[in-house]
Parts: sequence; structure tokens; C-alpha cells
Amino acid sequence: MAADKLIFPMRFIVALLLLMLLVSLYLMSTATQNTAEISSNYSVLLLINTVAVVLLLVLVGINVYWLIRQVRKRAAGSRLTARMIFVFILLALAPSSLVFYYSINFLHQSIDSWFDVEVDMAMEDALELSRASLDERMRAQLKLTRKMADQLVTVDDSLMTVELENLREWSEATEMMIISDQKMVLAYSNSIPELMFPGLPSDSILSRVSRGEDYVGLDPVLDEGMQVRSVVSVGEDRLRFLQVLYPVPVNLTDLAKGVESAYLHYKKMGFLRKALKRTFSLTLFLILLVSLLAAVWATFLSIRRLVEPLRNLEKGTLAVAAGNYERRLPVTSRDELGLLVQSFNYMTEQVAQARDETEQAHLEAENQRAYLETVLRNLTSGVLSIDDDGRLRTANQAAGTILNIDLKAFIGNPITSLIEANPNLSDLITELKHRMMNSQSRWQEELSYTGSRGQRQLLCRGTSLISPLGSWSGAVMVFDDVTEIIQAQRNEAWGAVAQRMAHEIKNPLTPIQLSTERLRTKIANQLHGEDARILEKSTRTIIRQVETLKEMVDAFSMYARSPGMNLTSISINELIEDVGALYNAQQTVTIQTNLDQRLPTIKIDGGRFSRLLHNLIKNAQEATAGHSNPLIEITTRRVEHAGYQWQELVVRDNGCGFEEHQVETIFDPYVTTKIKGTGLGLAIVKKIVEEHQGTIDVNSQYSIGAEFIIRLPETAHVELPEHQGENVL
Amino acid sequence: MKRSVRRFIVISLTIFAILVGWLLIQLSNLKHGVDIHSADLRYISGNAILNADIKFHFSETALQSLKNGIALPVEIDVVLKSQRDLVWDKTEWHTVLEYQIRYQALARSYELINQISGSSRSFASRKAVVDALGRIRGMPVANTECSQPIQHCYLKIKASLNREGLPLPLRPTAYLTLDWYVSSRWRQWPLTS
Repeated sequence: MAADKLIFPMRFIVALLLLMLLVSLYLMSTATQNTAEISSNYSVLLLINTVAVVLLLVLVGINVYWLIRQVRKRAAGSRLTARMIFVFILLALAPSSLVFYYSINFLHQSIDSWFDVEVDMAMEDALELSRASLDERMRAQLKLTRKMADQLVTVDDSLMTVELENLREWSEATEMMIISDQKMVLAYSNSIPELMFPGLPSDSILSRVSRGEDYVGLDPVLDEGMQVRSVVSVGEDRLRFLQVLYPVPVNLTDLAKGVESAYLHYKKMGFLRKALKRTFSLTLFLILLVSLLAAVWATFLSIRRLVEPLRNLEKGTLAVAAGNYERRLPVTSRDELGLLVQSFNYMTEQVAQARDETEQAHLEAENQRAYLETVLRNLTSGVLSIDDDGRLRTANQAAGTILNIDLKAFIGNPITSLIEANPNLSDLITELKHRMMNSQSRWQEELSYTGSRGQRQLLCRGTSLISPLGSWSGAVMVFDDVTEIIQAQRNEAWGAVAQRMAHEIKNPLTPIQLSTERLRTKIANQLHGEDARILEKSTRTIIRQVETLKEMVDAFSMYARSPGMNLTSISINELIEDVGALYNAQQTVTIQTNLDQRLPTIKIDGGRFSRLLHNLIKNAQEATAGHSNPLIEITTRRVEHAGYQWQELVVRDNGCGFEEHQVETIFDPYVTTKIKGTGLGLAIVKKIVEEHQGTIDVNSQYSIGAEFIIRLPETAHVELPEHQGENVL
Repeated sequence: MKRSVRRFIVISLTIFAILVGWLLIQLSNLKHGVDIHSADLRYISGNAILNADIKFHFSETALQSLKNGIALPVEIDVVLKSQRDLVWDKTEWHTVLEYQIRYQALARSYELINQISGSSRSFASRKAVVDALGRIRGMPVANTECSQPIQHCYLKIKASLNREGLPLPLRPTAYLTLDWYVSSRWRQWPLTS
């Protein structure tokens, strides 16, 4: 179908065509009024208008087809267009048809009124009267011609022309001639000497005369009226003929011509009556049809243009419904529909602006959330938040690691549901919930709980979350596992005590020992009997106790002293075998090793690690002292933990083991279960392990004896583990 | 293309074919028309002189109209062409002889008028005037000679009732009915030396 809106050149061409059509219709209607120049082109005008009607019919047909399709598709504005077109056609067709019907009737009646029986009779009578008048004259002239022919029978051929001239002048004829049966002019006389070519009778006239019938008739003379032609035979043999042309008087000719002309015109009009009606009807019908079709087509164009804003509005509404707010509708008119379209455009613009602002805010919120998540994920401190219903809203990775729970699974659940996952946290979670739900301001508290890794100390700080409306909407808590820090502080304190004790105690021990030995040497020779024995016993006791004190001081020094690390690549297995061999030689205990031969060398301080092994084996040896079949098992293997390679050393014995309450303090200094123990053996072991970035645990579940698990990172002293670096951030 | 559009085209073509067929049948059954029996064109002193025998068969409607004062206009197209090898033949000249037959009510005769020269002749009967219309003798038609040798030139002639010369109210009817279709086909004859 044509474009919804005609562009300028097209509109101009259409207007021009319609104007030409109107001119053509005007010319055609003028042509019917017998204007000579236009009448000659009547057929062309008729053809042009017929083609125009066909073209308009095609255009209107296409528009109707388009409209039907639009209505079937329920396109926007199609029903309104159909209704308006229908109303227009009804309003235009009804009066036009009435006018056409009465015009045709009036036209036909007017044409019929031209003709009347009486006029017809009068015309016939007038013609007959003219004929009678002329016939009378012609009969007389034929009689005269016959008389002259009889006279010429006896005239010699050489005198024939002269005789003809005389007779012509006598009879007042304009022309006389003698013609042979071969149509040869034998003699000729003419009143107009300059006329070179005589008017010969036709073959039919000669044929008729040769049969013995005289001929007389009226001949038209070009632009001069009429003449009487009479032809008779000359003589009985009918080999020669006489033709005489008589003039008809001008007044008679004019009257006769007038009557003939009127008669023929009347006859012609009577013959053309039907054709005339048909032609006028056709012209009128064409004018009506062209006008109606052009009007209908123009109506289609104008109504479609009128309805176009509605269609655009529907498309725009659908676009908005589909989320496209960028679409702007063209404003094609300045009327109320144009204002409606402008309002729609303004609305979509506002909606698009609001959407953009919302998206921007959402994006910013998302960025904030991502930023917060990143910060929380990389925090070494645990972060928990709850909403106003006590449900867990946020929990970072560090919180899960500290509490040893997969907190992601509990997001959205009440915080108390964590107790179901880890019953050991019951007291802690209850306390935290109480703090978080009831504290209106910031709070800080150190809480402890017992987990799989023993007694842990948490430093918790919390605050309430206040909504923009000012109401309490939850709480957030940040907590750190400060167990290691407290332990380090405690170790530092104990180290200082040990160093001072070693310094204060060791200094007087040597003079005491030396003085005791000198006293025994000097006095022993002077005493006898019981006195000598008492002296000997007392000095020996003093010296032995001094030695014991020295050993104790050395142990204190060992714990407190932190010389520089001497890291070398060493195989742990080789160190175990060397140290184990020393104890196997004593045959007091059986040391059974189960070593993973695939273990690579590791960078450690060999001296410190030998001390670690000595302390552990000695500790196990003392624990299995009363056992009938003492056994120490040492196992090594390579494990993967938290994405890194570790070398694991497990030392277990079948001794007396530890009580459950002892496990929490087993690595603290000066904690011992033995009568003569200094309580520094396992503390030193732990210190050495921590100096190597490793971990040490005691397996409290091992019921046969004691089991220590030591893990050393393979790359600990090359560079810091990556996750620790992240935690620093 | 949609089914409804295809159906519309098929129906239109069928109606058009039926109309054309009906028209051809009507044309083949026509009893009126024009027969060109002979034609002869020769150059005499540089002037092309035409002799022809043409038989006009007017329909009863046309003859009735003649009796009712309608003048019948007749055209005889005379064309001289020369043959060419590669392109279409060249038109040397084209002349139209225009005649008109009129009824004279007063004299009860028929008048044959040469529209070009203005000369006229009267005939007592309708047959005589129609015969005279078709008998062309010594009619000078052109004074331009053929540009090619005479054996490469030929005459084309066609005679017909000129419907455009009919009175205006009669023309639509003349174009829509076969009664007024009185025409010969183009006939051609070689030139006479």
C-alpha cells in the first residue's frame, strides 16, 4: 500500500493529476456541446477519463483491501478508519446518486421533448412541398430538354456547337452538351467560358437514358446552391445524348436548402436520440464516478493521516510495554491528537529518565555490594550481620573459618540455627545473639568457646544497624580469633620470666658449687667418723642439687633464647632416623617409623628440629616408662591443605596419654604431669614448630596414648603463603 | 503471494480471455467490411497516380444512419514503402484520401464528396455512390518518387470508415459496437513501372 503520509513531490503530483482530471472532465462535458475543436478530441478525452476511472478504482480497491486486512489484524485505528470511510461513502453516495438519477431523468426528458410527431409531420410536409415545387420545375425543364433534343436530331454535326449555343441561350441553361454512348463529348456549350471541364453525367444516368428513360434530377453545386440536370437521348438510335444543366433560382435554392438542412438535422437528431442520451449519461456518469472515487481516495488518505497518531500511539504503547522507553513518536499534526502524542513522548521520556536513574542507583548499590563483599572476603576478621528478625544476613569467609562452619548455607536462617551445625558453639551463639539483639550502641567483649581446636578466644565488636527511617534493622558484629595472640603474649611473658630466672639463678650456682667442693676438700681431712660422713653426704647433696638447678636454668635459657634460624634443605626422614637410632640403641623403648620416602627435602633449622624430635621422643619415653612393651610410632607423609603442600609428622605412643582437661594447657610453659619435669619440653616443641610456620595439635581422641600431629609448610620459609598476604589486606 | 490475491488474478485473466475470445468470434462473423480487390500505383511525369477497386460493405446500421442525415466519412490510407535489408522498411510517403457520403433528401440522391479537393458528385442510388467510392481512377496521390529502384518499392493501402468523423454522440457507440467497424486490412501491391 502507499505510504501512510504522502511526501511533498508525491502530494504535488497527485494534486496535479486530480487537477488534470478535472480539466479533462470539463473538456469532455464541453465537447458534448459540439465545440468543434474539442469535439474532435472527444474520444481521447473519453479514453483519458476512462483510464482515470480505472486507475482510481484500482487505488480505491487497494485501499479497501488494505483496510480489510487491517481490520482483520485488529490494527490500531483500523475500525475507526473503516467506520469513517463507510459513513463518508454513505453520506457522499446517497445525495450524489439522487442528483445523478434526477439529472439523467431530466436530461432524457429534455432530449425527448425536442421531438414531436407534429414537428415530424411538418418537416416531412415542408420537404415534400419543396420537392413538389422543384419537381414541377424539373418536369418543365425536362420537357424543354426533350424538345431541344428533337430539334437537334436533324442538325448537322458541324453546326451542332452553334446550334447548342443558340438553344442554351434560348433556354437560359448554363450548360449543354452532346455526348456519345462512349461518353465522348461531341458538342458543348457553356455560359461560363472559363469552365474547361464539363460536368459529365454518371454512368448510371447514361445507362438509364440508354434504356429509353429520360433523366432529370437536382445536383448540388459546390457553394452555389443547386442545378437541374436533365439528360435525354437524341434520335431513336440512342447513340447520342443531350445533357442540359439549368440553374435553380437563388431564392428557391436557399429556401429548398433551408428546408432540406432542417429536415436532415431533425432526422439526424432523431436518429441520434438514443446515442445522445447515452453520451450525455456516460459523460455525467464518468464525472460522478471520477468525483466519487477521487473523493473516496482522498478520504482514505486524509483519514489514514488522521488515524496515524493513534497507530503510532499503539506502537509506542507496545514498545513501552516491552521496555523500550527510547521510542519517540512523530508529531504529525498540531491538533488534540498531536498534543496527545507530545504528552506520550514526554511521559516516555520521564519514564526513561526514572529508569536510568534507578539503574544508576542499582548499579551503584551493586558496586557497593561488590566492594563490601570483596572487603569482607579479604578481611581476616569475621563479620556477621543479622536483620531485625535475628536472621543471618551477611557472613564473610573469615567468619566461617574462625567458627569452622559453612555459613553460606545459613544465610537467611535464624542465627540460632548455627547451634544445630556446631553444638560446641551453643553458648557463644546464644551470647552473641543476646548481645546483637539487645545492644543499642557499640559494644566490645572477649568471648571464649571450646571447639575442635580447643579453647579459643574471640574478640567481638558489634553495633546496631539503623534504617534510614531511624528504626533498628539489625546488627553487625566483627570478631577476631585472638587465641594465638594471647598465647604469644603469654609465651613472651614466660620467656622474659625464664630469661630473668636463668640470669638470677645461674649466677650464684657456680660459686655455691665451687664453695661446696672447696669446703669438702679442706675439711674432709680434718673430720673423721660420723662427721666426715655427714660432710660428705651434705656436700654431695648440695653439688647434685646445684647440677639439677643448672640443668633447669639451661632449659629456661633454651626456651627464652631465640637465636637466628639456620635454614638448610634437610630431609625430615633422615633426621627422624638419626634421632631414632640413638634411642633404639638404649633399648628402653621401641621406636617404629613409617616414613614416606617420597617426601622432598624441606628448608628447616636442623638443630632446632632435632631438639623437637628429642623432646617428643623423651616425652613419650617418660610417658611409657611403666609400660611392659613401650612403643613409639613416628609417621611422616605429604598432605594437601588449603591449596598448599604440607609435610605431616605424627608421633604417637602407647603411654598414659593426657586427661581431657590437660589438652588445653599441654603446650603452656611450666605445665607438666611429671614429678621432675620442668614443663618446658612441649612448650619448646610448639615454639620450634611455630618458628617454622607450622602447626602442632594433640589428638585428644586418641585413646591408647598420646598423639602429636605436626605440619610444616614446604614453602614456608621461601615466601609467605599467598592467603596470608590476602588476609593482611 | 497470498491465496486470495492469486485467486483474484486468475479470475481476472479468465474474464479477460473470455472477452477477447468473444471479440475474435464476433470479428470473424462480420458480414460488413472492406475488400480491396486491386490497387495500382504508377508514376507518370513524376506524379504518383493511383487506380484501385475497393468494395465497401457498410452495415445496415451505417446505411440507416446515412438515410437519416448522418454523413459517412471514409479514409483510404495510401503508403509507399521501400524495402531495406537490416531494418524495417522505409516509408517514402503516406497520403490519406478522405471522402464523405451524404444523403440529399430534397433530390433523393447521394453525394460523394472528396474532402481534400472539395469536389462532389451526385448519385441517384446508394449502391451507385458506394460503388463510385470504391472505384478510384487516375487519382494523383503524391509527387514524390521512391528513393529506391522501383522493384524495391511497394504500395500499401487500407480503407476504413473513419469513426472519428462521425457525429460526437455516435462515437462512443461506434467504438463499442461492431456495426461501425468497417475496415480493411493493410494490403500491398508492387509498383507498376
